[in-house]
Amino acid sequence: MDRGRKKTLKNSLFFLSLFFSTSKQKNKKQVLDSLVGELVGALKELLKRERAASGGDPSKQKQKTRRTTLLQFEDFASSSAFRLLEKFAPCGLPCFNDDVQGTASVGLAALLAALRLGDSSSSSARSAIRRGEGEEGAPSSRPPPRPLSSSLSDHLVLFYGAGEAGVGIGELIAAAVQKKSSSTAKETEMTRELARRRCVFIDSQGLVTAERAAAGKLAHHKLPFAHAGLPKLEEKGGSEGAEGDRLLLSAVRALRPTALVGVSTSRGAFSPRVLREMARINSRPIIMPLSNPTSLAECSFEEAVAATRGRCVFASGSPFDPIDVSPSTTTRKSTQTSSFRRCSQANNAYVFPAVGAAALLTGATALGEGAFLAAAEALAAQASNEDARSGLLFPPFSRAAAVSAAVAAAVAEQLARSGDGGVPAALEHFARAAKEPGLGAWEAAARSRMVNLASTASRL
Amino acid sequence: MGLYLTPGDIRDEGVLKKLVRYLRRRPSGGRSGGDDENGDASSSPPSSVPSSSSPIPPVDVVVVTDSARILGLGDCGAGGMGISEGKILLYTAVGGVAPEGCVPVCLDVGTNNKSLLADPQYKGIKAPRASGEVSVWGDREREKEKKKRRKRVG
Repeated sequence: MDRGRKKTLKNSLFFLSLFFSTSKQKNKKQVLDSLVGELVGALKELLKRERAASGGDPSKQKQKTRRTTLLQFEDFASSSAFRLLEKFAPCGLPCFNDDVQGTASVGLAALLAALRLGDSSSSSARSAIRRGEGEEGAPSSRPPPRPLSSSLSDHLVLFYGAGEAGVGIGELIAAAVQKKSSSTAKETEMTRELARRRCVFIDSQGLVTAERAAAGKLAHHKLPFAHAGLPKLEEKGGSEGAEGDRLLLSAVRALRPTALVGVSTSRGAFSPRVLREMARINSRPIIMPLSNPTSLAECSFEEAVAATRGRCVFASGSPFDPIDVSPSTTTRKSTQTSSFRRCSQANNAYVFPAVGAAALLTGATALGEGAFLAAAEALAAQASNEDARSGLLFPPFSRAAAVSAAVAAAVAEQLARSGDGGVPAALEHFARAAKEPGLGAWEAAARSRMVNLASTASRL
Repeated sequence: MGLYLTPGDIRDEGVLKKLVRYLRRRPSGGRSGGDDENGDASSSPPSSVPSSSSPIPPVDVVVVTDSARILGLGDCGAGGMGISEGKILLYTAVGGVAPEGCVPVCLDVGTNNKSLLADPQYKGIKAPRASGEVSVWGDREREKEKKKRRKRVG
């Protein structure tokens, strides 16, 4: 009896205090932010206690890098995702949003990997173009298809959909363009604004332009990509069903992009007409329907390959089955001649575990744009030459752990260089001992920390 | 199993206490301080976090979701734990981070999913999701349901 009465008293007190505390929170209007803030505070408190506890231990003091805790935001609504990211990026713990930064990184990696096809495949592509032109009977006034350039700044990427994910990819592409141009020093200085012009966005209302920005009709996040001087698109019209297709088709005709990126979650947006037009303009059009899940991809792998006669360089956000591309004229008796083309999936899992491992290795305090840029560049170099020649932009996922070690090494190096992270003691060890021939010190250090590669690496 | 956090935890270092309890209670795979069993809220005084008794297992990676925009499913209320757990597994399988240091977290801050709000089986807070307002009513409702469940079991 007594206990029961105590309990109800306790409960009512609890609710009373909860009511007052949450009504206070209500004034701040930010319960979600406070909760995440409490989580960050709790994690930092644990780290602090841990450091205090190990303070007297001389063996742990030898470590140069501090232990850190990585915080990954996942599947937040985009309005809160950006607010939380902005709020907690400087919190002292490395934190990132995988839907924004991870997706951007893997999207850029796909594009950079596609550039590797630039030179090697030009001869076969040219013959394919000649065949294509003859069959399709293109008018002679049309300029011939452009070969695939291996330089990122030669490319024009048309985004279908201008959500935060798409704009995130665009921004990282712009960062890569800017970095490339400043390292080669061809041009004096490329500003970020100029680099952003390599990406053009289409949203549900049409092209994202400076005119629309001036009219105040654009969402905040699209403003950096509201370019001036974009061509006017053809008047909308025709049948209702074909309207979306018509907008994209006229944009492709007017802008002549080298790459088409889909972030719209609208199935069928990359219609065969659009894909054929891309193939008419480019010898190797880059087609990347990144929308998830498979049922919402802008086009399927098979549609893209069929409409471009196998010339497209393809990466998707969702997985697609391999397709049979063996020429129909040859007899399919022997299995060797029947060739299957596999689909490259731009999977975030190539990026975020590696970035996380790098942050832990260097005891990072923040994860910036540079980390995800470094991850994209490292990942783009990971597909073997044979894979790249057959159109695969990423290594098979069975090699994901080894790929992760290489990507983590590149990111860790960048973090140490930028000052967001420190140089781990393990690095000196590996640089001195050179225990792993053929591996860089950073990669050996990354591997030494990875439990899934422990058997192949020498554990410290 | 992951860690659920609700707006009620904002007060009095509630998140920290829950996190410490969570870390102490779960199997720690040989890392320090996993065998402290008196982490239950009712048995230990709520004002003191057991900081000096045993070392708290270290945390390497936290994946946190509020399940507001799950791929192909939309707003899942408090049902996004699987997302955090799945991503955490990838940190181990691909990134090589030891599983003992990985913590999946799901925030339960209400939902705008009408079918979940109407579902008597839904275990999360039954209040509209907003970045700001989460009513006390939701907590009370949740507490009532917990009691009912306890009665049914006991």
